[in-house]
Amino acid sequence: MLPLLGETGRLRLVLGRVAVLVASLLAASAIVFWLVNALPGDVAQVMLGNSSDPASVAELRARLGLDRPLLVRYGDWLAGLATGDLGHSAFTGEAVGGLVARPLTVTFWLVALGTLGSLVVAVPAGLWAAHRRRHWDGFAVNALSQVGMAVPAFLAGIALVLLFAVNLRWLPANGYVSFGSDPAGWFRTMLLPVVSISVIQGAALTRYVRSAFVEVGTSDHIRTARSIGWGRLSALWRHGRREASLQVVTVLGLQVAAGFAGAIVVEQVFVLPGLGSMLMNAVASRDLMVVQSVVMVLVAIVLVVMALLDLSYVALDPRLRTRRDGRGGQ
Amino acid sequence: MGQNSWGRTQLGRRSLIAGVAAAAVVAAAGCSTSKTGEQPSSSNPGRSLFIGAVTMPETFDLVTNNDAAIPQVLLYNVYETLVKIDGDGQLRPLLATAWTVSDDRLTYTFTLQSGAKFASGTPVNAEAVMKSLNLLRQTGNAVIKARHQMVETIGATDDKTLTVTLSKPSQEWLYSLTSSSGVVIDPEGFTTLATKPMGSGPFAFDSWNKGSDITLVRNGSYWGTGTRFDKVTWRYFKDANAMNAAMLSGDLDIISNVAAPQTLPQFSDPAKFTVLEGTTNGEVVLGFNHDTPALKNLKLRQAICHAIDRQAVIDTVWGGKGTLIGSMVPPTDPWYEDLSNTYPYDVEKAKQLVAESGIKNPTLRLRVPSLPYATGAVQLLTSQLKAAGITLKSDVLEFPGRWLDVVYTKGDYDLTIVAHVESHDLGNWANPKYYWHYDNPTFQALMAEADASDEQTAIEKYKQAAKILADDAAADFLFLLPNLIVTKPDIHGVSPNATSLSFDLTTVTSKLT
Repeated sequence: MLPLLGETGRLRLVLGRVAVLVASLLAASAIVFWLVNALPGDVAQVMLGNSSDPASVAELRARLGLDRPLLVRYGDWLAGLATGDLGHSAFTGEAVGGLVARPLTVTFWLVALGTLGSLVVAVPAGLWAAHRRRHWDGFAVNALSQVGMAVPAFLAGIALVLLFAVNLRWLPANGYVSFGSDPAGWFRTMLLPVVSISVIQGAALTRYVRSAFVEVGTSDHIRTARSIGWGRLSALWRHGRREASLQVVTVLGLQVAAGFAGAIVVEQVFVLPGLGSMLMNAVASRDLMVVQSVVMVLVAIVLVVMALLDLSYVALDPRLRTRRDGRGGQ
Repeated sequence: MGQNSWGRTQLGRRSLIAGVAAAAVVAAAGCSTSKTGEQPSSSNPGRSLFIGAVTMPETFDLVTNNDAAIPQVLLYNVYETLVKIDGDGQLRPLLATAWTVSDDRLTYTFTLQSGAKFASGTPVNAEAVMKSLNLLRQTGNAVIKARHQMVETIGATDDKTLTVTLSKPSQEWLYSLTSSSGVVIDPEGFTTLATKPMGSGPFAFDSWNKGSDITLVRNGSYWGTGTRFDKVTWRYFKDANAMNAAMLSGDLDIISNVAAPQTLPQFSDPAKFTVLEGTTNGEVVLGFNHDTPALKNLKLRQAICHAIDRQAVIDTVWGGKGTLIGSMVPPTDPWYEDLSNTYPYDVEKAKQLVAESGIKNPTLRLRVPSLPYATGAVQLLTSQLKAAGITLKSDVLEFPGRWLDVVYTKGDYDLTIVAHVESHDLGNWANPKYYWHYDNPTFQALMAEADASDEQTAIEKYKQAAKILADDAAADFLFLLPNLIVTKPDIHGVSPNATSLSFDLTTVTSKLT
């Protein structure tokens, strides 16, 4: 039995988790900075291209401040990050904070809608597979999810493009239209990428949902619920979903984190101007400030999601709360 | 508790129903938007133009940045020049209606188009052109500065007359005005070069979604015969298959250059697509590092050239499309000669030359950039040279970052493969500091003489210079990149040949507009 936490205990839990988060962010910034700056080649050379001479490259390096020692540049960058200043692109001089806004929006909606879609697929499918686990249709759902897990998202994407864009011509093959300029266009361009993420992530999630419900289904309180007349499916849903959700939320959190990485592949297939393509361009052209700041934003998102996940257990698991603000607090 | 649970179950059921309803609405919306969305694009495709291209500019500042992706969009379309080059490689008037050259070839007098103005409304007068040329030669990148190095004075004689004096005669100078080195920039746009290019062309810059597309709009107050397209959107695809899918699904009107030529048969239905095949200025050069001791040996260089079956290279790496050239000159230049048979494919001859070279078991490092035409040729070249007794050790360097650092700047290579897409880049061979380190005084003298001569003499001298490169086996000129354009059948006026870095939209029309 877990110890019950009072108000101060909960506060300590939250503060402790936040301290870990800040320390992880600092460590990550150091690693990101040194890795990115260890890339061979430099932006001044790339900007001037294959008709440059060493003198003009050196001059441009100086103008961009790349001739300063690494440690000074790291300090500057960190100080900027602390105040929300992500630095400036070497190519255009634009603020990275402004540059990253649009790609971040694209990737955010891709991951958010993809995750939502995977839940829409996985929760009913997993529940059904658990409920009918000794029947042919339960097996079928399970087998299908196995197949879905084996298919890479980009392959699903290409198949969707061939069917819905090239053959049927219902939807654009790829590209992006911002919601602000054309909501219908935004929907049309986002539909296939979101579906391909939903199906593939949903397949993996279905298996977790199924096993969580199977496990819950064998517990005493479900048996009790059955004995007082609840049907098997409604007992699982009514009395088992909170317990099952603990496991599912853990997997979901990991999937959201992995989703940002996986989105890069889907962005490539659908030519979406998200963080992935921004990062690839910036790495190729050695626009290091953009690379390190965008990577740092991604790392921060993952770390924050992880922290929120840990804290969500407090909300989901009544055993981590006091009796007073537990059940009665609703 | 029973009642409570009943209530909760009801709620659960209601939210489930709501969820199903929402899904149905989403599905219905999907159908209806796809139908309504399809109609405008099929009934009126000419009003906006969608063009697919590969390399996206990272900035629009073509004064400091030498990226070919910038003039592809901006040159002639947004920025105009005094003179332009047409699809046959001829000089044509643009902002200058006429120009005269003094007898000593040192003074150029340009008469400007009357009524020409920038999209902002500011007139394009001699003063504005002077300011722009000064900006280019004073703050431009190394290429631009080199092209203007012989300029002594630029003066506005009157509103419509511009006079430029040179310190030495130069054929190339006038020609360089057709490129990024000669763009006439709105003085208001000097401070926004990187993000908002401002010129006098038939299109004006509209918006730039970094990472996906660039939109130009019609310049409503264009001084000449304007375009009928309201809007042109450039979309960028790193993946050739994604670009093809966009064309096949009808999202694109034009593919500016097919990035994977072996996929061209997908567009073979003439009712749906028009395919144009022309030439570019892109010489794919197997470059030799002339600082490498073994490559100072003419016999070994000749052996390499004899050992390579260049037609097989084209078939392997570029789907059989491309032109054999044999030197650094594309067919659209007036001094072009077919030199592709200087060292025909002949393995026995190659073996014999290796033996004559006196180099035992020559081994060379082939360090190629991570670009399809280069990486695709590595296997083939390795086996072809192996047959002649020359061993290649190859690696792939990420382009541009690593390749520029290792090969271009540090010269740490023996052989490399790069397409040189600039026009009139024969002159690169006259620079011993360039990454080939080719130092041939006869060639250099000839190039200098050609530049200082009148047009006819220049053509003869450039021809001789190109022949020297071929005979001297200064490099193996593998092939010339083809210009492979796919358009919807209603699109007309696209020039098959790319004679400049511009994708010239000024002549493009759609029959429905």
